[in-house]
Amino acid sequence: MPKGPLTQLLKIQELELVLHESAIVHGSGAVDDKNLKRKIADLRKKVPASFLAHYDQVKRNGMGISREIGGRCRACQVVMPAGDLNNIRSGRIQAICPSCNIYIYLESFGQES
Amino acid sequence: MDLTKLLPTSHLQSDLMAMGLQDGLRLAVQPLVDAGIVSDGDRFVEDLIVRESQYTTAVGNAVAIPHARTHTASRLGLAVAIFPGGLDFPEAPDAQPVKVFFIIAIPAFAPVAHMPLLQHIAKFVRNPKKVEKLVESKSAAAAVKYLLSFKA
Repeated sequence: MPKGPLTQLLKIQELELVLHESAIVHGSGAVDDKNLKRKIADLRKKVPASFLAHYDQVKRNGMGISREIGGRCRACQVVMPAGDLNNIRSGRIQAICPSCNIYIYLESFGQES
Repeated sequence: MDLTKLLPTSHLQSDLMAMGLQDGLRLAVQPLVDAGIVSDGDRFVEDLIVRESQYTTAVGNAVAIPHARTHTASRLGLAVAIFPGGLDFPEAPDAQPVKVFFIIAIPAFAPVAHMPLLQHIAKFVRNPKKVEKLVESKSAAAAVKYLLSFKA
């Protein structure tokens, strides 16, 4: 499983959250969001279309990607089966939480490079 | 929204003074460190500054709502810091010093947990009279009582 697209998706989600927060804090009409939107667009260009399609689809329900810490998906808090974690690490299956269906960034992927 | 559990009296500091924004943030996050919600105050301040660089949380009316997702937070945390003299805030939309800081620590594992809280605070700070009354509170207890009485 290549972790590169997942690293980019984490960054995209963070900036999308900043956009959402800024709309709440300043009022949606008062936010000059061109810079943020451009950054998001630039990051999206680095992610394969298939990843973006799944991310955008599941994001409608809240989050598109989460981190796994201690074997647990931190979005749904469900412990992931060890077999699934091994299969994700070895690239046999996509890095998707079997419980909440969002992308999962495994703790073992380490810090982004 | 009921802030009773998020905002005990110990999480509000009034009559603070600081040398600059970073120093002010360090003072402002201290109650969250003392309460064990944030494990590393300096790291959290760095996270706040990074978040601030993406888009300012200063809203005018002498208020800012610095918040950041951080690995140092074990749960959602709220602290309020009042600097009657104000602190320069580089990106403040009205270019006025910020007197009231609502600090929100967001655990990295729950990145959207704070949205209702953010909405609640945003509604409060849009009213300059309420902010003024908060700054003029005679004690931390009175300020907390005033904030808790606000129903959005």
